[in-house]
Amino acid sequence: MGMPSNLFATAFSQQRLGLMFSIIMVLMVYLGTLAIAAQAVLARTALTWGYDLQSRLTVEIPFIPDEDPLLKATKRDKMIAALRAMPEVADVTLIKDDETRRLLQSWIDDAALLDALPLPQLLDVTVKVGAALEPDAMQRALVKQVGEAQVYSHAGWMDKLFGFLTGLGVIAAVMLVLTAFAVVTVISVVCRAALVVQHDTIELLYFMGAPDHAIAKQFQKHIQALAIPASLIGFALAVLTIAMLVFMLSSLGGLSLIAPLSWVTVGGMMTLIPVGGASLAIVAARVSLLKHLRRLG
Amino acid sequence: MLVSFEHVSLRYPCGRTVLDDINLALMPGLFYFLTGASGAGKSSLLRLIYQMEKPSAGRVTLFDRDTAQLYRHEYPALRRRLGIVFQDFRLVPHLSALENAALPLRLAGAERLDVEQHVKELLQWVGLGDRLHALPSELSGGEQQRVSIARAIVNKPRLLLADEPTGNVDDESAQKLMHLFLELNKMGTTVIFATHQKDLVRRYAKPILRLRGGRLITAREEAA
Ligand SMILES: Nc1ncnc2c1ncn2[C@@H]1O[C@H](COP(=O)(O)OP(=O)(O)O)[C@@H](O)[C@H]1O
Ligand SMILES: [Mg+2]
Repeated sequence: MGMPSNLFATAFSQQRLGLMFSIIMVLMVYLGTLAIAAQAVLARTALTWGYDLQSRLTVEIPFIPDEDPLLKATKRDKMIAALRAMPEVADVTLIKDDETRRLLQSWIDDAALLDALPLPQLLDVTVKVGAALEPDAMQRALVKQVGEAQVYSHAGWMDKLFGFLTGLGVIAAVMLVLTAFAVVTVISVVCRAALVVQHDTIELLYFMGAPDHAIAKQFQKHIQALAIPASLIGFALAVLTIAMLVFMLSSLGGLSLIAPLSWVTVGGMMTLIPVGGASLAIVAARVSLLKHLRRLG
Repeated sequence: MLVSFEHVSLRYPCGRTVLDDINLALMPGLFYFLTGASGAGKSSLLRLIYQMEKPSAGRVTLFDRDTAQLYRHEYPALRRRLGIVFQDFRLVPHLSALENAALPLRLAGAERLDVEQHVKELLQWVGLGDRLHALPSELSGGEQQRVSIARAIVNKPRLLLADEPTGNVDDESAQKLMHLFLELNKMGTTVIFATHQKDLVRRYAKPILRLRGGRLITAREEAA
C-alpha cells in the first residue's frame, strides 16, 4: 500500500502529542527498567540469604558452675560425635572460647567481668543441602544421647530480614505491572486524542476505501517512530542510574551484600522492558485505531 | 441496476426522520441531478449510498449487492469503485493539492512517481495546473473544491457522488465544472450531482431526483 507516510502528522507534530507521548514513554521505560533490575537483584539476594540461613544451626552446651574441665571436654566431644552421626549434618565446628569472648567484648567493657562470665560452649552446625532438620527434634535427640543442649536456628531472627527482602521484590514486581498498565493507558489516551484531531483524515481514508489494516499501519508507524527512540533513551538512563548505584555501593564496600549474581541475566531481564514497552505501545495504538474504525460503521 | 432504494427510511439518533420511504433505481451510465432545498436530505441520501449511514428501514442495493449483507472486509473494494465529492471538501490539510488528488490511487497501491504525471494532467484539466504544490490552506474555496473533484475522479470511479460540487464557485466556474462532470459521464461514469441551485438544473436536460419533506417527488408534484 503506497499511502503517503505523513497522513497523521497533524496530530503528532503540530499538536505536540508526539512530544508528550515520548516524554511519558521515556519515564515509563526508565522506571520499568529500574524496577525489573531491583526485582532481579532482590529476588536473587533473598534466595541466597534464605538458603544460607536455612543451612546453619548453632548448638549451645550450657555452662555448669565448677564443672570438671575434663568432663566438660568429654561432653563436648560426645556432642560433636553425636551431631556428626546425624545423616542431615554436613559439618560441625567448635566455636572457640576466645571467639565467643570476642563476640561478647563489644557488649562488655570490663575485662574481669568478661573472664568471670559463665560462657557456654557453642557449636556451629552446617546442615546438608536439601535436608530438612527440625531444631527441636535435634535438641531432643542431643539431650537424650548426651545431655543438656540448646539448638538455635538462625532462620528465626533473620526470617524478618528475609521477609523484608521478599517484600521489596514483590513491590518491584507490582511496580512493573503498574508501569505496564500505565503505558497501555497513556498510549490509549494519546491515541484517542490523536484520533480526535485526525478524525476527518481517518474518516476520509475509510470512505475512500482504505482497508482497516492499511490505516492502522500508517498510524502505527507514527507511534513506532516515537516509541522506539523513547524506549532506548529510557533504557540508557536506567542503565546509567544502575551503574552509578553499583559504583557508589562498591566504593562503600557494600557490593558483597548483594548475592553474587550474573549481570548478564540482570541485563537480559532489563532489556525486556524497552522491547516490551515499545511493543506494548505499538499494539495498543493499533488496537485503539481498529476499535475506532469499527465505530465508523 | 447501479443503485436501488426500496422503501428506505433514515432516522437520525436524535429521532428526526430525514428520509421517508424512498424508492429509486439508477441506471448505469446516466447523469442524475439530486435536488431539494437546503436541509432536504440530499447529503443524507448520498451517505446512504456510500455507506456512511445505514437505513433505519428498507433496503439499499449498490452494484447489485444488498448492502445489509456485506461483510466488513468487502467495503474497501466497493468504496474504491465510488468517487465522492464531499460538501466540505475534506482535503488533508498538510498534503499538497497534488498529494490530495493522488490519495485514492495511493490507497489502491500505486507508488508516488507512477501516478504523478496522471494526477498533474487531471489537475490541469480542472484548472489548477499552477497550484499543484499548494496546501489546502493556501487555496480559495473554489480551488479546494476543484482539488476534491480531481480526487473523486482520479481513479475513474463507476459511480460519482458529488455533493454540491459547485456550491463554492462563481457562475462561470460552475459552468466549467458542469462540463467536466458531463464529459466524465460521457466516458461512462454514472454521476449523481446533488445541488440546490435550480437554475443550474434547468439548463441541462437530465433526470432529476427531487427531495422534499424527506420524500422523492415527481416533476408534477414539484410544479404544484
Ligand atoms: N448526523 C446528523 N444527525 C442529526 N441530524 C442530521 C444529521 N445530519 C443531517 N441532519 C439533519 O438532517 C436534515 C437533512 O440534512 P442533509 O442531508 O445534510 O440535507 P441537505 O444536504 O439536503 O442540505 C437536516 O435537517 C439536518 O439538520
Ligand atoms: Mg448537504
